[in-house]
Amino acid sequence: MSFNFKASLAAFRQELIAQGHFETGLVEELVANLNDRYDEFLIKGEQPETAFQLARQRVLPAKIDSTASLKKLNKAINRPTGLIGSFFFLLPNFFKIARRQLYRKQLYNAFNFCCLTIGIFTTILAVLYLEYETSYDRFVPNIEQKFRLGRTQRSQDYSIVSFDGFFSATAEQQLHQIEGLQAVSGIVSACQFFIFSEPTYVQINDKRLPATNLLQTNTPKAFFDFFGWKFLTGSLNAFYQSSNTAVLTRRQAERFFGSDWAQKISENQQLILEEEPYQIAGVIEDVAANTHFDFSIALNRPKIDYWGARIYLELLPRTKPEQVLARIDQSMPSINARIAANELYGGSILQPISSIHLDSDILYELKPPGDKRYLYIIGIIAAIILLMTVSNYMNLSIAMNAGRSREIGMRKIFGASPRLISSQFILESVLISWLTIPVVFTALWFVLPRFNQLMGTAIDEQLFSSAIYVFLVVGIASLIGLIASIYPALFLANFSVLALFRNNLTNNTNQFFSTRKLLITFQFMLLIGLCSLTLLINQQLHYIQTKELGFNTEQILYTYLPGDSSSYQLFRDAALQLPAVQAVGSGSTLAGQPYNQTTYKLAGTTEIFDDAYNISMDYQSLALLNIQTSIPELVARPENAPGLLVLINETLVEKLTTYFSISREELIGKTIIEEPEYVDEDSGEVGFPFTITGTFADINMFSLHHQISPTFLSVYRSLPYAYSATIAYQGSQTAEVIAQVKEQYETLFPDRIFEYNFLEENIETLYENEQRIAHLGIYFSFVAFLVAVIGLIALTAYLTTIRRKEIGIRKILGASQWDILRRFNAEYFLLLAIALLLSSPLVWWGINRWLLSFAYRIDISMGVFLMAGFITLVITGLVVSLTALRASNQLPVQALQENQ
Amino acid sequence: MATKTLVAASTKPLVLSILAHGENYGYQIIKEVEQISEGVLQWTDAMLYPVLGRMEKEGLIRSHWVKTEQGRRRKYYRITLLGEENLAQEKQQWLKVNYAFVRLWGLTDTPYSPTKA
Repeated sequence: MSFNFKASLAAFRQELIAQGHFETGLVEELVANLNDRYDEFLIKGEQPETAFQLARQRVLPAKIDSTASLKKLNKAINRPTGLIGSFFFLLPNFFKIARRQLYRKQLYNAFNFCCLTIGIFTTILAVLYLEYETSYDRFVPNIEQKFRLGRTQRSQDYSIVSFDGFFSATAEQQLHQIEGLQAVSGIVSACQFFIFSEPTYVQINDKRLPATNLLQTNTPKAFFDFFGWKFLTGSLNAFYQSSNTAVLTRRQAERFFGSDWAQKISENQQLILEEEPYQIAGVIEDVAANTHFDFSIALNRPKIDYWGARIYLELLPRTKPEQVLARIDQSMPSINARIAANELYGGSILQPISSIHLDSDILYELKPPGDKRYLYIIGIIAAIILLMTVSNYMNLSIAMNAGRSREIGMRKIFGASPRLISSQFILESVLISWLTIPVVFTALWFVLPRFNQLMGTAIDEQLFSSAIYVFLVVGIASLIGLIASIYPALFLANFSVLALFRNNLTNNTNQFFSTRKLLITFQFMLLIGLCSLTLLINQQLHYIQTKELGFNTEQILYTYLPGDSSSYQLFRDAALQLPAVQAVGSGSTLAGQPYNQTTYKLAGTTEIFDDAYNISMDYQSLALLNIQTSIPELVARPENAPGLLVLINETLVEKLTTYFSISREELIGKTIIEEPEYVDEDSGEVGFPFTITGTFADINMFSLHHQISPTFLSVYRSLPYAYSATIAYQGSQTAEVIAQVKEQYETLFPDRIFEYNFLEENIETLYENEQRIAHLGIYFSFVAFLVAVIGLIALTAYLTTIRRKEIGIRKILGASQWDILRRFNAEYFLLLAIALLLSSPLVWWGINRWLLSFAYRIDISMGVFLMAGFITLVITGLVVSLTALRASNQLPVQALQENQ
Repeated sequence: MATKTLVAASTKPLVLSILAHGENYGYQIIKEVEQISEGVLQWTDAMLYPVLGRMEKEGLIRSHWVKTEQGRRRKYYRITLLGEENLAQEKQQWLKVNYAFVRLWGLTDTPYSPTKA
């Protein structure tokens, strides 16, 4: 192929232009020169192509390999090469520059410091909380092989396993069930126990104190082996080798024997419980707060005095629980023939121990279970605050460090690689994060006890003494510092040298503008989201707290009685003597946890339903709770009323009238057969029939998470068993009323411990989780706003500082302060509108999922989002205006004189 | 070959001196310097052009584009009044330095002899 001089010359010209550092005139001159040199070499007899190459070399000698020469230089001065080598070599310099930067921009760094402190603190708090909630029962050895056995009865799941006559069964019969389970292939061991939460008097020597959470077991060895309780004194052998023995927890030992209990507990020490002696076999550590149950004294007895027990199973390693479950159901006739024959028995349930706290939703839990949704909410809120912190840092750090473009440019000229420049910025950020650690620790020390109180947790408050926690805090702080700085570091380090020297980066690059706007929009989104989330959670909480429940909740007191009707009568007469007491009744207590439902059918029909609750009350109770019935005249004058009548609630009326297509009037007077599966062996009567005498308005007996179910209300003139008294009182002297009732109670029942609950408090307890989350939501929203406001102040302050000249010129040209403020604010308002549009659907989706867990809930209105947007708008407007106003108050001439 | 320092120091007076003989263009200036220094001074194009640009900015020389008969474009430089003044000063300085060397190395009638202390 022949040499094309013109084309080569054009390529040479292009190459020069592409290099970027030759002006147009110079390019032309060099091209002209190449032409002359080419001619010269042709005259000397060179071939055209060689002549061109030689001429080209003379005009533009080959580039110097700067990297190679730099390496040579580094070697000469004995400087380590490579990123890591260079980083450590330059580390002292980096620190020096970082220190100077911190000192030079004190105010902006203080803003960043505050934001980072809040972000790191919130993250650590959330991590501690999530860690605590997910750490339940982790102390149990071989936890992955351990399960709790539950049972499905009708359409409900139970955490207590029982069989007919468990209470009256012999010790052998109670243990037979456990032995049957142990015989199932795949099960290593089984234990059973029950915990009595009611306070009972325990006597040791001459000390008689009430104790709650007494645990009874008749499988003592298996129980201790299963949970791995360690003895502080005494031994497991002493506990299980003979019956009627007891193990105290440390707290109980301290209560009864004082702090030197170890010396005081003698070998044959006994405790007396309900007149029965127990030999104390030892003391164990208190049950950790993050255990799904709690007990104070474990009692080894031949049998459990309850209608059922809690059964725990350990499976063989690598055994599939589903297979074991199938085998349990198959072997049920040999484990417990009565259960196998029961037509309501719906199979067994195996719950992994580790998931009981967060995943269990079955009847009669030992402790109120946690709620995974709340962990997500707290996690998300903390993540939002963290994201805001990080985006704040990014935003401000880009704006702040944009003024360092010449410094970066100089370093690049002296051979610094972008990575090395990035590491300077990262180091500065990590340094600020580290500086926050003492503040974070102080804040944790102050906040943790309060947080524990608010959230009902027991996070270790002495975490500063634990190396793991210190490591965690330092780790999280470093990580956040790192994350916050990566973007600004890469952004600033990747500019070309020319761009760095040309001008201020904040003014010149469109890309930065869009990034900054993106970050601010993102922050607005988070703010609006968090604000509307908090508003909606509080709205729902307010709704459930103020919703009409169908009964009177104010100034109602429950107290607990021995159970027989004569004790109740005695107590009632005594209580009614008190001036503040208006009425006393008895019956089922309201606002508790759901319990077992019952089966029923309408007489003369075949369809059996299994969703009814059974409650009973006397007429007095019905009257003082103001439950609306179709028999008001009988409620008002119980002396004329029958000894027992049954009312059904509106939900059941609706259900039956719809199902059987009958009218309300036709339904009243019909017979309902409760538990039709039961047939009396002697009389042959099917179930427990009763006549529907009337109806009562729906009442929310449980939390509003639960839909109202069909309910039978048995109304008695005198209840055969009265385990509680319902007292309506008047006046504001609540403490005085309680003291008076207590006095009466203790005179009548000297052996019983006076216990009471307010109905209003019971209702509040139902929403403890929601209350906690709402409180936390408010605190977190406040913190998030604080972070956002700090960020906005800092950013606006910085940007207005940069734009001082612009403000000056605008003022000279006649702009009023209002014009300037409008201009500054307008930029943010558009972003805010975009954020509102983007965040509303997300929050709507999330909160709707949460609301679905309530049977009764608010409708989400757009107003909330607008409100959240408005709050954000007002705060943003205020912050931006005040900061811009400060800058615009300066005399224009001053701003223009400055050499920026 | 001359040292880099010497080349750097002598470029400006050399360019001014060549242009003092009449206007000229880059390639020719390089050639003339080569010739006059008998190959001791070999300038590269990349070195010369920035110098010419700077001198023009300082007002020592002026340039204009000329189209040759072959249709090529060449940038011609010529010395300005300021350039001539500058050259005169430079000449004085270089001559003085030259005279000092000439005396030191005994190439004159009045050679240098160290003063007795």
